[in-house]
Amino acid sequence: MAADDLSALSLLGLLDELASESPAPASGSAAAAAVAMAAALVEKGARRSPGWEDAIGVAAQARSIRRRTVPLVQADADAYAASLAALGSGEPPGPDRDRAIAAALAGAADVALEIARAGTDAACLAELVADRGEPSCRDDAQAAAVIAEAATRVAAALVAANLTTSDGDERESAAASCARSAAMVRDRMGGE
Amino acid sequence: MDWASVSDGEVVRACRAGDDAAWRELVERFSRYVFAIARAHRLNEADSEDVFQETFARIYEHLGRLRDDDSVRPWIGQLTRRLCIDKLRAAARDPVPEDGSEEHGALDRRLETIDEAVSVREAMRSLSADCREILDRFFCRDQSYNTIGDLLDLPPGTIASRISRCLGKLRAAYEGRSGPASASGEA
Repeated sequence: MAADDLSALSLLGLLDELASESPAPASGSAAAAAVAMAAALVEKGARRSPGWEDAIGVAAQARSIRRRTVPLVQADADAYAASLAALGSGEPPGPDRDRAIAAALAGAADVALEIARAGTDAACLAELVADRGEPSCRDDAQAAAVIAEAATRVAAALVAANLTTSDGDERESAAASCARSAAMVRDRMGGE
Repeated sequence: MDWASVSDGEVVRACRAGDDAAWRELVERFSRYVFAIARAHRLNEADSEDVFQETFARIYEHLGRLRDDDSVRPWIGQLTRRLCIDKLRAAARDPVPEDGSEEHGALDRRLETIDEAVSVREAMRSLSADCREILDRFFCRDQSYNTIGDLLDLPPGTIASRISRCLGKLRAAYEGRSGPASASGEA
């Protein structure tokens, strides 16, 4: 991977990295960036709703979601690269190799779950802005919910993919629950 | 005793009355503040530790001369800054930033940030335990609404509204506390 910190790149730079031949960054990083964008749209809606008494608090929460999500763009790329390295390490088959692969995949699942959780939070906040913020902000809030829901679904799928060999792992059900919550929010808001 | 809701001034008065627990609380309450100021001056770990020891030794020695108990924080801040500058001069490792210099401006900004953080922490003490918990979980531990909702047995949808209300209370408490304070309450 060329960049050391994807979150420090311009949007064009990040897109170049996503489009590159290198396997990472990929969909997890894109999902994290999408959640951060959704949170930014929510923050905008709250900031543009000065007559709403909770607006400042909602803006602060949206900013916090953005702050915690931005580093996940790089973290997911690192975790994915580590998983690929473990899977293709060339180590002889055996318990040590299995443990290394399991640890790398679990690390990737952890990052993806964080993205899913943040996506659900962004969708919840988007619904608040749509319901109680300025009516002129409703379209942006609705867009934020759609983006956040899509990113949450992507992240939940990544959690499941990384835990394929771990039956009954509660992280998989937690991620699926996030995806369902975000979808319910989007449905309530009438998103496509 | 639950010190969480006790003001700085009350802790100082308890210290003066010889309450050992109050001294422990004073050290606990301001140790991170003192270390943060030392770090803002770019002191290394050993020098920061020296400043920490010397600061609290002087607090112990001179607390009786503090005129305004509620001004203990600016007093400790000023004391720590003086000791940091003494340490820099003694080591002659890094030049002491001159007034008006760019580095001095950067130092001032770092110190302002530290003071602001401590003010927020103080304002947090005036909130209910429920508010403190929900703000801590969301903003400090980065927990999601679902996680907080599960822990507090609340629907996730109400968490965001509750956090907003608690932030409103925190803001009111912060604005009530962050008025100008005397830089030195020492006689």
